[in-house]
Amino acid sequence: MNLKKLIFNAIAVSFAAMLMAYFFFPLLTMGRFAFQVTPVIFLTWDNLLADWNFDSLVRGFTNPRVHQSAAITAGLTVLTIAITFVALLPIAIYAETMAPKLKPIISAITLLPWIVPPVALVVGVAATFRPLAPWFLNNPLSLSFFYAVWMLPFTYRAIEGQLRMIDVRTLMEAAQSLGASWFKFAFAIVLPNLRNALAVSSLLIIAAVTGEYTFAALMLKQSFPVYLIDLQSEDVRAGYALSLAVIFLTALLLTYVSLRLNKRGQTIKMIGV
Amino acid sequence: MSQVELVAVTKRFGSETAVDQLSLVVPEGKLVSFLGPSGCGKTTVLRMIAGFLNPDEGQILVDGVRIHNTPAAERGFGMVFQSYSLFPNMTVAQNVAFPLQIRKVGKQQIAKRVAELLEMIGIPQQRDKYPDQLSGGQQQRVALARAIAAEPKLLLLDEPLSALDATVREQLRGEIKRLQQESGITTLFVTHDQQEALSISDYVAVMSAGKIAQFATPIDLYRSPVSEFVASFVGSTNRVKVNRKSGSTWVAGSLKFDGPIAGNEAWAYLRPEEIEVIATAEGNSKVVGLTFLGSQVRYEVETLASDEIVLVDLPAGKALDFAVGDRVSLSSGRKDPLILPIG
Amino acid sequence: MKNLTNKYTVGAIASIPFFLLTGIFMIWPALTIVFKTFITEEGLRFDSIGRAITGTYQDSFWLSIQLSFVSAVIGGIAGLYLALLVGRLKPTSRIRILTQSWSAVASQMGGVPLAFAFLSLLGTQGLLTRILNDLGLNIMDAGFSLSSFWGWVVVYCYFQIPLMFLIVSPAMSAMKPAWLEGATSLGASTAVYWRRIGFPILSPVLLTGLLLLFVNSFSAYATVYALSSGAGQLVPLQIRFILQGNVITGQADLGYALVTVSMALLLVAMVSITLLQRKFARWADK
Repeated sequence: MNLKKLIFNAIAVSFAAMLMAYFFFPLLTMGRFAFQVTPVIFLTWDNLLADWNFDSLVRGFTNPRVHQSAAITAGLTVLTIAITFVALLPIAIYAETMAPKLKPIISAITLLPWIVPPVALVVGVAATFRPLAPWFLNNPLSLSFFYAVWMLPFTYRAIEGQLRMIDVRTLMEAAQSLGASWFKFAFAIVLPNLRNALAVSSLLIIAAVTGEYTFAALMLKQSFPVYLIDLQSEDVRAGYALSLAVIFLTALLLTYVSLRLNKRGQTIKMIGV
Repeated sequence: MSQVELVAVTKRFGSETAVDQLSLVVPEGKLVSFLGPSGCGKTTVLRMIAGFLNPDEGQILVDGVRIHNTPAAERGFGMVFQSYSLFPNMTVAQNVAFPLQIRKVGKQQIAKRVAELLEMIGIPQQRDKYPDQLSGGQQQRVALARAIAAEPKLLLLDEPLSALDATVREQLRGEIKRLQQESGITTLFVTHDQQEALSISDYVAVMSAGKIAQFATPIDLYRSPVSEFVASFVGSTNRVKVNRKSGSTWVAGSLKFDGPIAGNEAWAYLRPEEIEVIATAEGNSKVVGLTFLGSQVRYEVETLASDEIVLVDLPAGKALDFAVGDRVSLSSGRKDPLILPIG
Repeated sequence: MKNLTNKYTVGAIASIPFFLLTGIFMIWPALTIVFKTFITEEGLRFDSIGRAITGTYQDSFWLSIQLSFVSAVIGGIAGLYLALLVGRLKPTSRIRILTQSWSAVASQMGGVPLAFAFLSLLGTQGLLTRILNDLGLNIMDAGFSLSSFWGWVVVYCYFQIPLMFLIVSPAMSAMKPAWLEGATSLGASTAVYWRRIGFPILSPVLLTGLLLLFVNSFSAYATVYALSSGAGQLVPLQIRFILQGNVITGQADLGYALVTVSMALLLVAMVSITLLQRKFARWADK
């Protein structure tokens, strides 16, 4: 019996070790490539610690095209968050309080983005917007509408989850008995209680939009992720350094999000199903 | 039908001692309840017997054999949990058949035994239903059937009725008693509900802070509690200050009892139904409140001597004799209540 | 605003933004694609679907399906095992919380940064490649390459494993301890418990996980684009290739057909997931 346990534990530990190596080594080598000037071929045990500097990162941060594309991505992020809230909050609160039968429909629609991946959506956009309203697509900020839709599986569930937890129906009945209209109730009572879900949704959007490449590139917009890959042909190290910075910051953000969600050890679903 | 013995069993969680040098002998074929408030250690004791926890000190013996090295899966006890433990992916019949399948009983025999058990617990028509289609009471019946299917040496019940409605609870506890008597399986029943414990047990072990406060039959427990804790935990109790008059006689106003020979001041513990009330204009007590409880009326009587409030239960018929404000005098037919000297 | 408590007025106003957003920016483009697949200038035609699933495109679909399947299975098994191990720890254990946080991060990683990271590890100029070379193991000669099938699998697992972990973990927590304890008290060994109770109950969630991983992998574009510099036979890449020249070459309807077939595949997967989710919810809530 004890031998069995020993073997199971040995397997578990080696698995965990392998997994950790698998997840962290690529990031380590990425950092090495970005911050150590010596090319791989010339590396020997002696010069392993030589020529490390953060020049690549500095070059990346001081590149004006980086600033431009970062500004676009920042604008996209803010706009996406705004669009998401305007689109989701009213209907989510309405469905939760007065029309529970609507919820499966909303749920189904918010799963559609997984049936229409970015590549597919680009084709659709080309077939619809281009002929009818090309001016709309000219502005890079137009991407934010598509991003808002893309994030619906996650944002809807975060908001719906919290609505369920705060028992909105009872709150509504109390508000109505005190004479409040539905909209006043939604704004003054529900919204302040949704801070957690709103914060989580915003952070998820930030993480996603700062990493989204496919749609932006195919729509020929120079958002930050798109520019990063262009940078690869100009200044490889800077490109890598910035990518690493993005990974690091996204990691911090998402760690915070998941710690918030998993407070007191409760595991709450973060993915959109 | 097995005997269980606990010898100085101790279990600690960090700096807390959940079970403290607990010793007990459970006679075979009997239903013994572990009764106590939350945190008293009763569930911990049960789980140690079941094998889900190991005692830090002491021994647990079943039929004279130490069981601490036997893994839980091999102990051969049946267990019913408070939260429904039926396997949701199996029907009622499959759930009940499960322990028999593990013991490699033949298919035909299993079918027969399952039918028999379902009949015994009164739900043969539900055999092909899934747990989520049953009510709470029905689920616990199935859990019971499943626990006794393989004729276990012990039946362990961990607050099995706590999550059920009052009516269902009463019904089911009667059935548990009936089942236990018919099968003769030694049964350990953990509960915090004293009515439950008193109504079905052969013996009750009242627990507090990891120790046994008293182990006795329900009647002895009620009539002759050995400590203030037991007296007040089981049923309602009045605590009246008494003084020793002389020898072994203790008095309080018009009440007179036999007690220990030493000490001068003590607490006497009396049940509300053990006190009688007589209307007397010069009585040394006064009625200050009454609550109608259906078949009884509960009076609050203030003893003018010591300002204590004594609860007195009288059958509803007699109760019409008294009103708030009446002067009364108290007496008791009880000669030897629990008397604990102060200091 | 007047006291608008009329259920239908409120509902209508509240729902407009949502339906506008999803309708204009997702449903309309998607439906247009399907529409245009079948309704061309020459009228109602079904042959573009035929062309989309034969010849090189059949190979593309097959390759995409294979890649998705393999990365789903490998990622799925590893993610499941991780969830099993971590699920045994106390909910407040630091390892458990860290694993959950890291999974949230890693499951969202993809595209360009991920490709870069692996290129720096296992690419032709990769550090690990160099180390193995010095030790005598030339993986390049052995046929390994990040722009090949198995290279993609290795990279895809980076987000597949955490994704499976995130899907399975909540389900693990929903497994009631009374099930295991009940089974144990009845004499079942851990193996028997898993075989007859644990896995059957988890199976809807496991299948959901595998399907989601499949969907996730099938739709992935940026990662493989960065790894293979745009070359490669996967369906998303093919769609893009056609899109670049669609109007000129007149192959528009083929592009639409490719997308329609992809969406059909994904639709089947998502419907299955929804049905499976309901099944598990029934069992876990009781």
